[in-house]
Amino acid sequence: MRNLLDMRFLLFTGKGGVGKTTLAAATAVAFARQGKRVLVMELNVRDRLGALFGTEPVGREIVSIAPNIWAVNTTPRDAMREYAMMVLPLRSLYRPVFENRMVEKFLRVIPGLPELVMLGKAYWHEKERDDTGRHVWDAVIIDAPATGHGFFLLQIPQVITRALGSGRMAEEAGRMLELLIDPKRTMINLVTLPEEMPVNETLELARRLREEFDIAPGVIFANGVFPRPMTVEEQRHLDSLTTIRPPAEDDLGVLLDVARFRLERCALQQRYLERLQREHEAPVLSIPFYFQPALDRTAIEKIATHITQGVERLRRES
Amino acid sequence: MSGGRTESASRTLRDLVHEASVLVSVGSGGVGKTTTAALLGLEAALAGRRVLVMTVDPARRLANSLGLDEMKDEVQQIDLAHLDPAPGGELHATMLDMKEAFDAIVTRHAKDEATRDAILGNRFYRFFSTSLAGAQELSASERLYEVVASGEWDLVVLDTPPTANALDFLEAPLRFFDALDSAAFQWAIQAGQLAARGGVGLLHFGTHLVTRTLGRFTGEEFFAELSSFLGHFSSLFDGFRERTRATSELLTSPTTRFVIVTSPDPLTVEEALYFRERLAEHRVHLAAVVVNRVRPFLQRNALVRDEPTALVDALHAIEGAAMIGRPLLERLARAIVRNAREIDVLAARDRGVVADLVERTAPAPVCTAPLYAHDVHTLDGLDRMRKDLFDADPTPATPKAARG
Repeated sequence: MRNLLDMRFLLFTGKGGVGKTTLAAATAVAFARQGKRVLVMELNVRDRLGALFGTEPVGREIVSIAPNIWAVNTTPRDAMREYAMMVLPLRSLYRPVFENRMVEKFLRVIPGLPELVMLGKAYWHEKERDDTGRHVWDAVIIDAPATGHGFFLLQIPQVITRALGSGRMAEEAGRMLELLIDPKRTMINLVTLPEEMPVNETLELARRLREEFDIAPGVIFANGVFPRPMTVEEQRHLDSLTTIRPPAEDDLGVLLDVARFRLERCALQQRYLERLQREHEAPVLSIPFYFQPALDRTAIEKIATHITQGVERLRRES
Repeated sequence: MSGGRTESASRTLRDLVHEASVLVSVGSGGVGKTTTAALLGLEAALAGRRVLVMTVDPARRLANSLGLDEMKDEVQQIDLAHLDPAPGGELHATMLDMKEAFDAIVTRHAKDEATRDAILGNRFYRFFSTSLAGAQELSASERLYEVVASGEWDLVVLDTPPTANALDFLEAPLRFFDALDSAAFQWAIQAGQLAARGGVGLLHFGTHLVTRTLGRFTGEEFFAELSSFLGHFSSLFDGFRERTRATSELLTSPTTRFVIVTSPDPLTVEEALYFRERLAEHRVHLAAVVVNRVRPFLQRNALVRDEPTALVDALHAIEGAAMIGRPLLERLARAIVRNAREIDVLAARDRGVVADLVERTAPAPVCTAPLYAHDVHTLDGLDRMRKDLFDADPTPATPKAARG
């Protein structure tokens, strides 16, 4: 069984709104607690990491957002410049070539190029070494786009490699592909909610990963799982009371409704958790729902503990 | 927040659903755009209009709740006969297949069969026609124009593609054309041919430097092949351009209304507000903001506020409860109160978020739908949700949800 916290290159994808950034952030905290240096990358989005960690919004420069954790919200333009600087024989060529109005427009419409260069930047950071030859980052975590676009991001290196065969970009894409499918370094993790639509999308994505890349998803994070509000015995008595008492809008009726609402939501979530576990072999890690107005640093720390313990449990079970 | 204002707010959305000829549902991923589009369509059909809902989401549950086995490309009529009251209008649904829609665009605008086949058969096109920046949105707006122009429908409801940024729908087609303005385009095509030949030829030295460097960057083969693809593609442009202008007029017409859909999550709401600003910049008309999954608010409930003994007494008074025994009822009461307080933390937040939204989006109405205990699987379920959306106070004090 592969261990999430032994990986060097981690991607988080899943349906929109399921908590990809939350899980990417909490995983970063779990790494950082082991004394590892982590880089979390957002790909050209409205920043959410700053709000989660209580720092200034994360922008185009790599900034420290917590002990051992750095973050960047990269853009295709910046990634392109960094990539070009590495590839070009003379750095002085960059401005006349890449800041040429025609070229800028042209590069913007090359299908997949923005995704390729952003992925290329992540790939480059995974390899990056300091003067003493040590890795600069122990782990690079990518908060990837939602399912459809996220899968497109993964496909890009493969498509470029197949379509081109030769040339500098094809070689780079080939190396990125090697990293993406390397089970020793890379884990593609899927985040979902235990609800119908997100679970369907997750299962579909897991199937495509297997069929198109021959890789298994890393960890499936089932986020926002409601803790049971009462014991089974208490629930049985509640059921009998609500059966006897006709529905009413009075204070008691409302409270009973809310209790039943929670229990029914829990039961619904359990059904989808079971379906996730039944329908594919990747380990499923349940992340509890936190009853607080907004997720903050404290919640992220709690989720990180949950991840560390969950990973340890998965290791023992295997 | 006054009840009067919220009432007039939901009447306004209802009015717009009854009057508009196009409704576009936009928002971040996972907020219920598709379901909202279906609800808007259902409301209009019940008011006697002939409605088409166009979705991009193949979700089986939505299909099932409309009484369909699956969403298909072809238009399917939804059977509303058993709803009470039986509708005077009609509801139809179709799913937009992006790949096919884009192929259709190419076919329509290609000047001859050879050009069409050259494009459809190109390996870049085959892979990228659904991913090319703006291609999805272009397909969706083209198809929208087509169905509206057909004159068959009183109302067309469009559920937009699931993009990270709801504005892509408006901006991507424009970006697509801006990026491919003819000068840059012609340059790229020539530069590509030049790179393929490896000569300086027609272009001056500066351009030669640029193409050599780009060739090094992308690989010369790639650059040449891409240019050839773009060369064929450019012949479609006059047709594209004209149609995009027409589509843009349709989207900014006063009878086209946008509905921003959001969840009560504060970060998602911030995105919704950002969308609202940008929509205004595009001069499109906002119909309403719909907040899905709002949790019921209980704070005024005396049994939560007071000592749990009051709740134990109330439970004890239920017929037959005496058999359960007071110690167990006490434990149950504690669990019920704890649960209510936990849910209320979220409800209070939702309520604050909605109140803030009402203030910041005025005069556009804010309408809410509660979080349900169950997924909506049937047309009746969808219809209950419709009533909640169109009739409910935006910040419900009682959990309709539990009986939904």
